[in-house]
Amino acid sequence: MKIHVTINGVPTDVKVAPNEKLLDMLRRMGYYGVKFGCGRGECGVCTVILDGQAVMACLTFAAQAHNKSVITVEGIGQPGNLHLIQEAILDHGAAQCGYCTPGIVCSAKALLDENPHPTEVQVREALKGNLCRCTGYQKYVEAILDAAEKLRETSGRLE
Amino acid sequence: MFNLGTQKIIKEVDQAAGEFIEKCPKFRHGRKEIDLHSGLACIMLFFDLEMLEMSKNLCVVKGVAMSALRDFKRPSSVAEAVAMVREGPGRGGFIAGGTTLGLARMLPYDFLVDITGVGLNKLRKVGDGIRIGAAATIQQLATSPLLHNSGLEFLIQAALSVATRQIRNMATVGGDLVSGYPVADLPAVFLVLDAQLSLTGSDRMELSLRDFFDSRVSGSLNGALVTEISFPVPPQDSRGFFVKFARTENDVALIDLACLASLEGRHFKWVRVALGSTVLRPSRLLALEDFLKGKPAEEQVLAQAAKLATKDLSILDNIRGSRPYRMEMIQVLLRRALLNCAQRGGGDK
Repeated sequence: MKIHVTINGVPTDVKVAPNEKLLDMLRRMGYYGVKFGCGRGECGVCTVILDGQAVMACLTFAAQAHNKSVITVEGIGQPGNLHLIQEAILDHGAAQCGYCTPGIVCSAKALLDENPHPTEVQVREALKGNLCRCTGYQKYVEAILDAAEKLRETSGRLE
Repeated sequence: MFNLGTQKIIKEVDQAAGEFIEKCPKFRHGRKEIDLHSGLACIMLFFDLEMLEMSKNLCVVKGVAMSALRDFKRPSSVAEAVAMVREGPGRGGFIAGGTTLGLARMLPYDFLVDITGVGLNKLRKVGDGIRIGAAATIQQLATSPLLHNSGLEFLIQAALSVATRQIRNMATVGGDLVSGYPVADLPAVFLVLDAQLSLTGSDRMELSLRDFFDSRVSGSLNGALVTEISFPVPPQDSRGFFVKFARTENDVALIDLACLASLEGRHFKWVRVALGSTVLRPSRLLALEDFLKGKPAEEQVLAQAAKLATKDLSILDNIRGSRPYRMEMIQVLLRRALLNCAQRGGGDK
């Protein structure tokens, strides 16, 4: 079957199997920033943004993304042109092994798009579904709060 | 939201599950249940979802076909969705958020019917009641201004206790209540709210959530679609309380306990208490509710009440928590819930 989906801003028609997961579809198409971790919605490394909402791509059927917009880490920033969230993660040395980072960037992006003024508690709540087995949560929280502030400054300047 | 397979298949697998329990001492606490999610009997052990998978494999062993999905349909109305599942060809199942269906490697369906595009995602107030679309996401519930303004903070707390943000963004209220997911967090709180399920594609238009859980084995939905969940807004003077007790912040619940009580001075006018996740089926504690009627909220009464709470219940006993531990904790949480309701002034429920 065919679905119509907008991936990182690019509308595409994709042939998918009815039981194929969004995670498998994206990786098949070369979006390797979307990682496979547990495959059962517990670790969050497969987090992508589906119509503005962070979701687990491993639990989502590709067919559920029909006529929707999917944003992966590849659509948030590119090497040389990083998103402020990614800059902040670098600045804070938050990424250790880096496997959980794309998922965390997506969770953080969805949070900051919805709520530009998150409290620390809200950041922690948004990251609850993203496991980091290097256990570097503190620096991620600091980085995201920092990114939120910088994003507010930038958008203030633009206005 | 589920389509049960033919009675014959259910019978066969039900028997197979029984034999399986008898043969393996490890599964002595297992119970046969019809897994609403697949429409097949399976052993609900609640050790972990792997066990659920194992029991599904058992279905495969016994010759019940678990098929690869052949189609994914997107109806535009409730009537069309129900007709699609009824008419086939092959076995069809409803899918909403898909966070439970997505866990299974194999599904006993030939096709899925997506009900997220048929207008079942609204929360509204109708008269003195609240009606929640079955396909409203749990995150919608958690952030609903309507629930907040109706003083239903304990329902919001229950919604926020469900898994993680990514799951809540997809998982739906209807799915959490009727998908048969063994550690769903919402049943307890909707039970104390006396929720009703609205059905399409069935002889009955309405089914109380309590009857739904009580009649699970007979598979009461039988291809019908749950369209809405409704309940009367609790009276001003009542107070609600919800607690999810789990090993860690992210783990599934060991115990979900919800309580709604109305007091006159220090005395309980009426109390509703329900348990989820720690019992085979989410249930109201009716004997306890009767006992508390008209009694004062005093330590001695609460201690007696706590003892009544676990009477006649089949409390689970598994790797997450032993039965004695769970019983002890149910009593502790119950005392806390009742005291909390008794001590709070008006305002929030």
